[in-house]
Amino acid sequence: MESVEVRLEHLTKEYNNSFVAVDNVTLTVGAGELLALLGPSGCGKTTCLRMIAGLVDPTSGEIVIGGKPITKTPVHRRNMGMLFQNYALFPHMTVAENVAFGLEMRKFSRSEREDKVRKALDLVKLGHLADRIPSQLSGGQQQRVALARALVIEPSMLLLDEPLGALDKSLREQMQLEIRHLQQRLGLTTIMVTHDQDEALTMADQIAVMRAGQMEQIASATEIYQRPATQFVAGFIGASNFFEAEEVSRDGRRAQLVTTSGIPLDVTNMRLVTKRVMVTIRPEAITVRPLGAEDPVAAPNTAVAVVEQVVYRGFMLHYYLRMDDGTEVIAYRQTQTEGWGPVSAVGDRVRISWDADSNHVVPLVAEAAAA
Amino acid sequence: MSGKLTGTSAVMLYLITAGMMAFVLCPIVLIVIISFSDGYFVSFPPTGFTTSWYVSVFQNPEFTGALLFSFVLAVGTTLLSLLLGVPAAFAIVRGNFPGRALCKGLLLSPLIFPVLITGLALLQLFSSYGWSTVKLNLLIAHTVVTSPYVIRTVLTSLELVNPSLEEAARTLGATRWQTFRRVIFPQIAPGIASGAIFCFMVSFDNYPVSMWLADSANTPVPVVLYRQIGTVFDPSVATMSSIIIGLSAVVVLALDRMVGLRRAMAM
Ligand SMILES: Nc1ncnc2c1ncn2[C@@H]1O[C@H](COP(=O)(O)OP(=O)(O)O)[C@@H](O)[C@H]1O
Ligand SMILES: [Mg+2]
Repeated sequence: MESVEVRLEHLTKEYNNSFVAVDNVTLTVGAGELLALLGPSGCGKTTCLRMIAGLVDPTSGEIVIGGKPITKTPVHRRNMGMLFQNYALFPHMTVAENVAFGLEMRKFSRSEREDKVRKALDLVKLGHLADRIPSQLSGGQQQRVALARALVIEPSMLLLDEPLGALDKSLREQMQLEIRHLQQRLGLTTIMVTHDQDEALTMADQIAVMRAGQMEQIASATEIYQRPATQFVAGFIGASNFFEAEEVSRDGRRAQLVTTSGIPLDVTNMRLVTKRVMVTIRPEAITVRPLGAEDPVAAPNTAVAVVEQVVYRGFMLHYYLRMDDGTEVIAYRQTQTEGWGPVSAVGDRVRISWDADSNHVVPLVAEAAAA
Repeated sequence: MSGKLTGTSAVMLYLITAGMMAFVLCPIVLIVIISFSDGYFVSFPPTGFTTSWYVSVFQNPEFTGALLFSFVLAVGTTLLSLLLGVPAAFAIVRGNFPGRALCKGLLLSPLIFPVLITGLALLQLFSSYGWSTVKLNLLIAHTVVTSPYVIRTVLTSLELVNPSLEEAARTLGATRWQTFRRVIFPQIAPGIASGAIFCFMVSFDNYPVSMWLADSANTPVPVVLYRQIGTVFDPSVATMSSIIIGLSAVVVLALDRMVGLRRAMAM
């Protein structure tokens, strides 16, 4: 099967001529890549996906697959494999009949159908359940049947709308790896909608973060996590601490900043030209130490705080801290790490500190942090 | 919580159910018994056993003609109601147009308006337009009365069909028609069948509408029956009724058997 590139150009959807659900979205999914559309509920992810499938007509914009515009092509000629959250298996057909449906529509002969159905069911390891009825299968099995049904037509691309949302955690993680593995093996260009950031990080080559119909950032998982473009992305993917700060001095990319509460910050990657910025710091970058007698006062990138809550999360401890001026701070600490000294308890005064490299700068927006 | 009733409350429930069954079935049983009565007047208990009323009723061309007329009318009404009702139900459930709720209310309205008034209104309509084809008028009038039954039953079963099934079929390459035939129809077939049963029954024993529109050449069987009662009150009326009851039961059982089979295949 040949992998194709998928492009959305200025795609816009207005519902009822008033509400803009998808606002001028432009993106490219490389041939054979998996892109995750990630964003809070109601931000327009499903609408985007359904426009690509042909189930919703765009108000304006173009969808280009393998260089060919398909915006005017009706659904049933688009040759897309789509997976739905509720599996959408035909309840009155057996597993094999479900998988054969797309082949029948394509007028394959009976023997070709049987052959392809067998191969597709083997691909998802369900060959032994061919004669069952969907209601006799577990959720995970049903979604695998849906996957086989979508793959058997050799679609030009795969569209997944929160396909694993109804499964429990461990099965979901297993299916994520399984789908990813198949998608890579077949080189199938895929767009997956999810509101689960772990799912996006696990499966995607590229993550597109959406907010209120617009694209916030499109980048690889590491890029999105380590260098979020906006405060919204920093707060939505993983947790972040936010400090509003002002530039004091600058030397190329190095800069000295001071937060509104007076904490001096050393920044190694001052990528913005504005004086007032938002600094984001990941909780795992923050070290928590008991406040000793020989405390290094007034060094940059440190502050004093009180422990308000400690949550044990298995391999991580989450500290909920409050600085003297009232700012809340979250810090994570691995439970197994040696040499970090004793675990601080609720009520303890602690010294928090982090590297200059951990200070990440994003534009300051008027609204409050979304996190 | 166990759903089973026990002790006194169970006995009470059984008694009430039995009472209801007796109440509903008694008149029917009574009529069937009287239809075999060997006497010149309707009386109970019957004075003897005879099948001669059946012989004479079947030799009465007025009755057999009306029976056939009603049967054809009911079949035609059912088909026309399905033809109009299924797409209408589809539009109401899946469509996206202003006033959908109002439409739903209006289409179901003959269920709340008295049928007698509907019949009179239709008579006035037909005569004001000079439509004098009685057969067609009856067909239209019966369809007006019965199509809401189809809309209602199809609507209910359509609302239970997951819309993603249609979308899945479409993305797999099915046209709208293929999607309907292969995916939607098998799911709503029981709804269509029960709608059809309602249509047939309502049309077959409709008196209040037919009364206004029938003429001597086109007389449905309930109208004949009513006339018969007005002239002579011998057991032949009970015999005719028994035949109608039997015929209705056969139709219902046949349709149920067909749907039952479909259901079994879908399981
Ligand atoms: N058919 C529709 N008519 C009107 N508004 C819609 C329709 N479908 C979705 N919306 C609205 O568009 C917005 C985006 O919806 P959706 O794409 O489903 O979001 P997501 O999948 O990100 O949760 C939501 O506010 C939703 O209420
Ligand atoms: Mg959605």
